[in-house]
Amino acid sequence: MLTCKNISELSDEYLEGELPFKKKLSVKLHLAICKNCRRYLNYLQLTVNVVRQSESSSIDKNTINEIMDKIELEVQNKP
Amino acid sequence: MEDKQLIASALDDHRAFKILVERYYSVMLVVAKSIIGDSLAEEVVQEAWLAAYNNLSKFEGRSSLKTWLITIVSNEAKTRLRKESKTVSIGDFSDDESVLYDRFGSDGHWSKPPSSWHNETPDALLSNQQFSRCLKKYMLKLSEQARTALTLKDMHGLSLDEICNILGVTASNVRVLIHRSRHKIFEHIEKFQETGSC
Repeated sequence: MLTCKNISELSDEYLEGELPFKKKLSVKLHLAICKNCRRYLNYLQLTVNVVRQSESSSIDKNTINEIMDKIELEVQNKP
Repeated sequence: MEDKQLIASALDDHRAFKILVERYYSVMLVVAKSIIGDSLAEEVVQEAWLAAYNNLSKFEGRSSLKTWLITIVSNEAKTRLRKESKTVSIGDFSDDESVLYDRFGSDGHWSKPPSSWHNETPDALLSNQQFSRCLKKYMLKLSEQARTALTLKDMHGLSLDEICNILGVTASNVRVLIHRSRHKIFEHIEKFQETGSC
């Protein structure tokens, strides 16, 4: 029988759907009787989704234009 | 528009190429920073885009464009790193710090279970400006390597293998980095839910 600590150790693989069938079943059995672990995994998934949806630093338009200018220059200088 | 269509016209139509630059610049910058550090990363990404443009006609689509671009920027950064004779310290695995594990008793059950959160959707949390500011702080509190692993996995959807190659560490080390990072952010969010501040 898995403990709550075991659930935490397996949490990433469980959320990614990477656990082998038997292990996944053991996690599900534990979750059926443990409210705290159900809450924990829900909130861990929420954490992953928050990071996923958070904005990465916005790209400076000048940076993009600089890259495009270099490419234009490269094209012009090609024989 | 899909990558495939953009690639087909990118060499003749610079607007198409520009869309690809806008789409993949961020992930390339994260990769470059993780290898060579902040100061030279932008320069390396620029060089990588130039290399990508010059070799686009050879891109056969055996990998995704994203993977191909990441390989290019990763190689550019590693070459530059050798030229600069820089070393990047890898110290994140030396300690056996266990996130969250102080919250379990000796019987392996919760001694301090997760508290109930008020905001239970990403949108509810991210629409809170105070929280968005806090999240940026939380990310900066992670080590460079941990932040890179988490960003590449959760924000940009890279596979473990791709992250291993970029960081030059084993798959189990990447798993540890991601596990710890997620749990650190989890505990910060929990604190925010309880107190309303970072």
